[in-house]
Amino acid sequence: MKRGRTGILLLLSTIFLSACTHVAPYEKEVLATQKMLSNPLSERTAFESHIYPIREGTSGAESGFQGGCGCK
Amino acid sequence: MQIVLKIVFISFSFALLPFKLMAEGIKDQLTTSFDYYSDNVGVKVYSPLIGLSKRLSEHWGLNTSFRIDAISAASMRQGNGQGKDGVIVDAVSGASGRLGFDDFRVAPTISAVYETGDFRANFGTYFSKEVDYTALAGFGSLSYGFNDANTVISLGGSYEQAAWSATTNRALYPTDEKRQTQVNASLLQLIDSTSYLQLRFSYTKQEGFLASPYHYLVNDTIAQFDRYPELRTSYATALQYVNEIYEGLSMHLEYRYYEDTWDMKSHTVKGELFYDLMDNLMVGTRVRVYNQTKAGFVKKLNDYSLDDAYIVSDYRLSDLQTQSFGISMSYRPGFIDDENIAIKMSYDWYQTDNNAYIENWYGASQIKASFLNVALAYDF
Repeated sequence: MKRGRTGILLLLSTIFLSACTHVAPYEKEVLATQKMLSNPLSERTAFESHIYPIREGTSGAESGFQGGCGCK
Repeated sequence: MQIVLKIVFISFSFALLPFKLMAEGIKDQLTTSFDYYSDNVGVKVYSPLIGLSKRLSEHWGLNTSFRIDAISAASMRQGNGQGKDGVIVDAVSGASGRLGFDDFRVAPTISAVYETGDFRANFGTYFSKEVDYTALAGFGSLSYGFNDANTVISLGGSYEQAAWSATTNRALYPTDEKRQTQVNASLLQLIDSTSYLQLRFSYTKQEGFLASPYHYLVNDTIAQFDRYPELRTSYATALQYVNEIYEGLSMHLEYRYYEDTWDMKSHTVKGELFYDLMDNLMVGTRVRVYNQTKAGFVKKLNDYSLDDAYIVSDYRLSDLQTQSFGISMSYRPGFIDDENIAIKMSYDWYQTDNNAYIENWYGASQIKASFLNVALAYDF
């Protein structure tokens, strides 16, 4: 299926990247800063992960989970 | 039919943040947050939240939060507006119709965290209660980092059981229940010391009464409540790239593709910049563009007849484009307890393109909204 192929392709691409890099713990100073987090403003993410699914017809693959209301 | 967009906010960010989780571990933290939403079709939502995270032992931690949603919604444009006990049902929230705040919702959640080395497990439950909808759910996730945490894999899932109690006293057919099962997976891979990729995937299965119990369509031939299929399965894949493109300046790019068994597809592109303006002040700006295709059973509003198995008046199942722009900041006042306090604020402007279904329902050609988040986190 198309969606399956797309997901597998992305997955394999990411895995392949792992074979050609290694960042030592002492090299992660920049990665540990707030601006580099996958989700630098977690409270905002929690908020918007509810706004967008309510106002739009599709959702998923967000960096936060939400649920519980009859709004979607 | 009418109503249903209950702008209630509840969010449980718990899984799929492996890099942050691995980097920070279990924290003792008190969080307060205030969210505000307002749009041009009369909806206002005030949503305070208080949360507490506490390390219980070397490996165990506990997260709790409690959110209240107070919704003041628009007056109804269509329908007779008569609800339970003679109250008027508003057009957007489907709530009680009381003056002032039309609806309140309470939503407690609790979860436990277990962490050892590069392994982390998180599981919990939440409950949500509002005037016409009650939900109970369980969720969990597992994360594991290997290769010096250069690669982090997460798997998560949730199950939610909910029931409608429509304020219009309408009997829902064939059931007033709604169930949702979701499975999430993510893979984070460091590229070098200043960049990484994160791949996220989700599968969602929804069953039961999936339409709004309030939305309805009136055209030249029919006046009918919305009817949708009782099963919807969706897949979404997102790829995020984060890079420090200049000292102190990071760039976040993300693309998401979605499709489901209702023949809907969507593309979402997000871009954001964060800049360390000072040692204790980070500012950001972002843009988001969203495009979806309509569900396969959606017709033009005037084309529906009594012969149609499914009827849709809700714009969210139609062809739709939206855009949003936002700014944000995070500040750690260094004079307070060695920067253990963080103050975060964000503001976003959101709008849809012109849409005939929005025009039909709200009387406005498009939705324009603002939302604001103010949060304070204290590490103790």
